[in-house]
Amino acid sequence: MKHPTKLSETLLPAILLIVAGLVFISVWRLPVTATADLVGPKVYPGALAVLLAVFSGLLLIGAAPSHGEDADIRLPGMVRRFLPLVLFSAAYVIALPFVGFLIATTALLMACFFLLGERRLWLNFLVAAGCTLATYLLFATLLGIQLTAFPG
Amino acid sequence: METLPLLMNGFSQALTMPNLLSALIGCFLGTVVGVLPGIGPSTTVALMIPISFAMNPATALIMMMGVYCGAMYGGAITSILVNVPGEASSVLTAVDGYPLAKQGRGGVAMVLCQVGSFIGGTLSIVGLMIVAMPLAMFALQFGPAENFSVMFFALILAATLISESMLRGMTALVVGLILASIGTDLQTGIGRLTMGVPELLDGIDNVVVIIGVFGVGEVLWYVVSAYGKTASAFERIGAGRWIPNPKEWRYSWAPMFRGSLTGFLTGLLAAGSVLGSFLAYSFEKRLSKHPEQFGKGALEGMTACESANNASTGGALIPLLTLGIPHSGTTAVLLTVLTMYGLKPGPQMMIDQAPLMWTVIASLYIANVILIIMNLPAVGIFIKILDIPLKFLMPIILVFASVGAYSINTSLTDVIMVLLFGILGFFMRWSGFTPVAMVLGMVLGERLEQSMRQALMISSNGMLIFLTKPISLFFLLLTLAVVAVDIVTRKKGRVADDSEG
Amino acid sequence: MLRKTFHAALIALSVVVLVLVSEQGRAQEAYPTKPVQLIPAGSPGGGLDIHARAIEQALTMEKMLDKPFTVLHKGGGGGNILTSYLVNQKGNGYVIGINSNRVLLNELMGTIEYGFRDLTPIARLTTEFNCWAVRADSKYKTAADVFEDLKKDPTSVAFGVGTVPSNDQFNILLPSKQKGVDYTKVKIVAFDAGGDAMAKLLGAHVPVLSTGFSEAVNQAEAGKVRILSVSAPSKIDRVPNVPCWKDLGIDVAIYHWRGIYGPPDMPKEAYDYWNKKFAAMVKTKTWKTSLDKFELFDAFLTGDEFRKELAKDIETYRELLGTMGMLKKGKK
Repeated sequence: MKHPTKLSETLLPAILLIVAGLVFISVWRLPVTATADLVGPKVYPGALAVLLAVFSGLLLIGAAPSHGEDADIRLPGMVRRFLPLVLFSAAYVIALPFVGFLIATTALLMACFFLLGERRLWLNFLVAAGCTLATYLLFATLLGIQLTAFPG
Repeated sequence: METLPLLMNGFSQALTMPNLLSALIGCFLGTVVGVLPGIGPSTTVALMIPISFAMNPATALIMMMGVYCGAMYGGAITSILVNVPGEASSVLTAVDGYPLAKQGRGGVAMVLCQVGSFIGGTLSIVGLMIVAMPLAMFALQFGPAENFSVMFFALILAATLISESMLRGMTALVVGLILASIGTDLQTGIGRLTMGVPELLDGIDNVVVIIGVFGVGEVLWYVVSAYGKTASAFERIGAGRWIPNPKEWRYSWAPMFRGSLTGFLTGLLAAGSVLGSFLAYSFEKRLSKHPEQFGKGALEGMTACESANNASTGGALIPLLTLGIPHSGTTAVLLTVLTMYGLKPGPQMMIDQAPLMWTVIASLYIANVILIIMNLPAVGIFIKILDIPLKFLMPIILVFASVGAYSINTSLTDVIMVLLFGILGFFMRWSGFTPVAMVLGMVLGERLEQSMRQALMISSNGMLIFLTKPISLFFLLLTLAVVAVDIVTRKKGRVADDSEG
Repeated sequence: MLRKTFHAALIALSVVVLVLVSEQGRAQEAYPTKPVQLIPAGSPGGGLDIHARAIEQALTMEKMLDKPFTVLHKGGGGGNILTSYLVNQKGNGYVIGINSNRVLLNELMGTIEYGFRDLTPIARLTTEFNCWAVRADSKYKTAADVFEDLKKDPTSVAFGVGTVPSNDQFNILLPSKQKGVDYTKVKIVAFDAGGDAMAKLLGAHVPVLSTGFSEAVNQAEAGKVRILSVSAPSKIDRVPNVPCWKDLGIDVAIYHWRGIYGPPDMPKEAYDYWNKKFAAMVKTKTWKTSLDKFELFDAFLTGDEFRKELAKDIETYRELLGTMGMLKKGKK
């Protein structure tokens, strides 16, 4: 058993360990009801939280063999690609109610295309606007999903 | 039983011009909602209710059946092309289909899935016609104890889906089970783990998790892993050929039939299409001579899974048509439609409304034929998606995933959750966790817990209820057998692994 | 040429302005001047959606609709999403929602901080009734047989219901309470939805089901189940031989009603308009036909009556949920 040193092998188990704790506390504080349900709403999620804590603990001390799929993920890629993409998406969700679907989506697509290396802005705009319009027509017109096209 | 004349009469009704046209429209619409992530057949059928006020019952029902079948066909397409399964039952199609697309065999995968869908869909209607009544009676035997044992069996079988590390797979499974327990507890009405978000009282929609972990997760993964690589990484996957070669056919036909049977039988139970596709996939992996290929582009699991989820439509209609009891989302909406037309859905429906019911059954055959004719050439069009440069395709997938999530409840909360689950999916992959295990836990979790508690409440002698009910006992023994076989073969496998390195 | 075009444009513009002004003028005369949002607190295909469609259909067919509805679904959160939405639309006369008694239950269970007093109850429209059903071959011939067993041992009979808390559940608790059964001990097992629960009854996994009348009546007419009692205040026409609780000497009637709510501080003209509109609608033939199809019963109450009824209902629920330990802590 080798102690894991790579971040990819410790980060998620560590987070899950914390989550397990939070789940357990949250479940513990549920009210008790006087129904005939003997097991109650607490036991099952509580047991799962304990299981999760045990499993993630085992992973933290290196009980599982390391795996090989993390080689492609490096810090520069995370900073220059992952973070911007997540920020764009967050901005998109925040902006949607204010600027409407058509503008927000076109902007998101253009930003992503640019990020991924397509620097011809006119092409970006054409593709983004085209895709946005197509999506809008597909969902809003054909399926009647109410996408707010414009602000208001 | 004068089944044949009734069926022939049904065909003559279903083949009239307006009915055929409505079947066509239904199939097309169904394929569209199947292809699009998020909105599923049940919502689509429900949205058609106001329109159907204006139609006669047969025409409206035929269109709805087209939607129901079409959605199952369409689900395979986005799973394979862009790794976005539209619903839980096509998750495993993505697991092998997407790698196939990356190998330039996306077209082949789609063609085989369409054929598998056709076989599954058609066989299940044959089954529906011949053995509906006895099967409906059999399905009634499944009470809480039986359901629990089946779910438990499925969960243990799913352990085979975990390829690399058992411990990580189990962790992912538990995360899924915890996700499933979010929301209002059925037995007490208490909101659990909702963190004060009112939308979470209804729990997290499986589809949101799936679109996030698979679709958005893949986008994030691609974007980061391609960073700093040569420009070619941003080019395109490439369509490749789409006619399967004889060897690929040989691999696929048996799984199609096995998958159809599994799907048809599990379709009788609640959550049937998901259960069926997972079970069919696990069976294939166990039967296979090269299980290590599963998850990397094996045809058997994928085609079995597609046949199974299509075959489940026939199974799921059985309780509705014979007893007037709906199971899945779509059949529940169909019940409303039948009521709306004043048909009094119940055990008498097949007798009182025989001509109409047989028209509907005939229309299921027709829908399947329309779909295979319509979709096979469509593969040639869909495959072109793989020719889109990835720098354009990936952001478009992101938008599709978001809009798809929004379309489920027209709620921005779902869009936020899709993005969060995308991030989780990315980190899971980075840390070597299997998202499939999490999804399975998520999908089966609620029923697992609730059926256990229902059984214990009903039981007069506690846990013994799981052993005294024959069907429940059977599945528990089966589980035990699977575990025993696994331990033996895993030991062998480990020896082989050691010798390799 | 240019001058001509300019003139033409000027005339066109003034016509548009005139039309707009006269529209405005009329707007001050009569509500409504634009489409009204009609929001069922459930997803398409569900019971509340059916109500929205039936309302739309009845008003359209009877040519009583002054402005079209836009039907918007706010399912989710056990109906709480609609309540929050309405609270946020304070003072808006162009939004009305459809919800059931979940508004009261959610307030009591503490899943939301708003209650019916934070909304404007406009009208109670329909009700369903609940019933007890057993398999056709059951040993229970009447509800009295069930109570006999319950009195000996409250845990001896397991009831199937759709969800908890619900009228399905109250339809067990209230009669049991009157019969002197220790109702906190009665086994009430929730199944996913009405359909699932019926399957469990037919498969003999639970001996008695407390469910919606509409779910059981078709099964009863097919001879699969026997309905022991209905929760209506008097017998139901379709099953004249089935007693209601009063016939059995139990003073209980349970309404699974659906009603219309508006946002808080709804303008008086809008409130009055809808009160009158719905009062007229429930008398139409189209509406009555829809009710018959779905085994719904007319339970019309005007806004003021509805509000009083709600205040009464919430006390009944509070007591029941209180003894079951299901009230939110601190809410007494």
